[in-house]
Amino acid sequence: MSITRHIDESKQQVVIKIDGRFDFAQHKAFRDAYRDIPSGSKSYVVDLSSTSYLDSSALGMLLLLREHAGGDSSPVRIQGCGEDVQRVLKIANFEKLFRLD
Amino acid sequence: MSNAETQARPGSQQPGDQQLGAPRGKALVVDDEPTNCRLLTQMLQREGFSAIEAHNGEEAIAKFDNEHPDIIFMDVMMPGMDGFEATRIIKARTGSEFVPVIFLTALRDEKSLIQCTEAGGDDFLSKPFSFGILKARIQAMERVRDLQRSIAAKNAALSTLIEKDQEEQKLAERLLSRAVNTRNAATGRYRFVQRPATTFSGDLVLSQYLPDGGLRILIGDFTGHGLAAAIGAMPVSDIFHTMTLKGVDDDRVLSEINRKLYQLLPADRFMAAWLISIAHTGTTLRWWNGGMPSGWMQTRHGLVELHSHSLPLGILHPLPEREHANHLQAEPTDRLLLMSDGLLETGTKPDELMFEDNGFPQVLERWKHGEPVMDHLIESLDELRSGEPFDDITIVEIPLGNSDYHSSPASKTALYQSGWRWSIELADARLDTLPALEDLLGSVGLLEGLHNHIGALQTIVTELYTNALEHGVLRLESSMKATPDGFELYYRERERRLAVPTPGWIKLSLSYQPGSGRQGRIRISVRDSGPGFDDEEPLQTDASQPWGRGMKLVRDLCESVSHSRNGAEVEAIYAW
Repeated sequence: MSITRHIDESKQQVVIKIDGRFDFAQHKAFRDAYRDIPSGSKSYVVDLSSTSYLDSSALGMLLLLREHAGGDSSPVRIQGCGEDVQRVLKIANFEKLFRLD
Repeated sequence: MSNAETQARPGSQQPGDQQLGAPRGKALVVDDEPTNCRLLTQMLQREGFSAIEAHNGEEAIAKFDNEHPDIIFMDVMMPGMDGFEATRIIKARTGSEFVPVIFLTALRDEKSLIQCTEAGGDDFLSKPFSFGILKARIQAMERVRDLQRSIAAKNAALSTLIEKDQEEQKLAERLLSRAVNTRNAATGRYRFVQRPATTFSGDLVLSQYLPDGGLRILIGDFTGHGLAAAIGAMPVSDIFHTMTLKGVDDDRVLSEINRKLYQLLPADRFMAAWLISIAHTGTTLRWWNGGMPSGWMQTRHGLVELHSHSLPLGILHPLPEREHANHLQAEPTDRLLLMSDGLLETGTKPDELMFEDNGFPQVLERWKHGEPVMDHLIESLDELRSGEPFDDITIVEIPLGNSDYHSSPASKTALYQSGWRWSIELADARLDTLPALEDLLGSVGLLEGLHNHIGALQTIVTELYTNALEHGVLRLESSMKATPDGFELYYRERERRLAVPTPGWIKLSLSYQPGSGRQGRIRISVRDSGPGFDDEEPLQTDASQPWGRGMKLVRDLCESVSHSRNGAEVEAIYAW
């Protein structure tokens, strides 16, 4: 269970990768992954390829990231979702708020 | 012994104030050798302790009880009660407070030293000991004691907080049940099971009648539990009940709830929800699913999945245009099963698969058309689940079909004996057709006890209404209908005049006064916006004419008919 981030300065892009369960226990680590980056200055990729499970508080955290990234026009992409993760995102209709790759 | 008492004790050591010459607290020296006692006492006094002495176990316990020492130096071998026994008794009396006991012993064998610790001793020094070692050991003990005191203080603060939090949770739960659940209507029309994961649920079930007799149900699942969910639930409940009772349509109710939650909740909180509106016929329904697991409708032709098609509420404002409610036709034997994700995500035996993958599909498969499924579902859940659920569970089962959604709260006898007043005002293009009385009154539950009279009432109302429309509002002459051509002309003219913008209004009022037993009286009043008639008795007609039969019929059926406002208002009384 860990959260890592990688900043690609050339693309002005932040990649946040979540390993294992993405739930309330990750709240602080997830927030720490972007809070020092000025709001609206970069685009974000949330890499869920190693995420085994996603709960509703994780959905809330994604919304917070979306807000930090710039709200409606926010360039947040979610990539690499497995079947279970995809199911949760689909039920919540999050493809309307994020780019799901 | 409480922490406050400890700190209030004069001369006791406070964390952090260890300075040379400052009082370090009270030491109890227990030794049967007076010389040893005095020697140690002097050493301790030089170190800033006040010291008291005891010469055997019993005395040590008595001194401990009366003098409340902060540290104890205990000899092992003493006449009477030995150091081990005295220490065991003292340690049993210290409660949550830490009073270090250091054994001073001439014994050096391993077994004896282990015995010191087993008796509750915190440290031991072998006699003879050096002054330097003693000082170091005392400091170590003081550090442990200070640490223990600060933990105890934090624990006390923490348990106060936890207690307060639980109190608030209970209060919120009470408020929530009162404000939310007690307003629910028609709870007998559907079955629901709720199992909260904490004191109270972040799930919400609301139900209310629509003015046309239909039933609306909202099932909500807030992110998180507890107070945050309760705070959101109150406005949701208010909006739902108020707007449903007014007959506001699904999309506007959703939009209003969404607006309110968007305004209230922080960005990471929202409410996934179901909104179901079942028409009073029971076979037409509108459904909206924002972020809830798929619902299932069991039909003659198999299961129909009602999947989530919208974002949960409170995330985007305004709601995207296309996320409207869906229409669905059902048969009277169809049933609907809805649930929150807490059910599907419950872990199951033996390998922690989710109930969604182990158990739930089998329940759906065995679900026969026209039969309830809730009991089987709960049975299967309880049989398979491992441990307690970590999320709130809500399950709702709704039988469809025309089964009088508008159940009456009072007994039928009471209804016969209770009066009512009802009215409707139609204007402009709506004047053309007055809806059937049975639909108008039946939908609001006023027909109870009147079923035998509805035919007669319908005739009276239709005739009076038609008169008011054709002669009062549209100013048509009945005499036009004297010839077959006139008949046609009359109705063509009626249509033409109605099509003109703003022709006027008609107000129909009915009031029911119960009599004794099964007797009753209904007063029917029809008023229109027309100027009335100049003739004294305009509706008094010759029975041989091909027109004007309506009023005669009304007079035959009614106890009395009277006109007022120059004929622009008529009142008929129907009695039985």
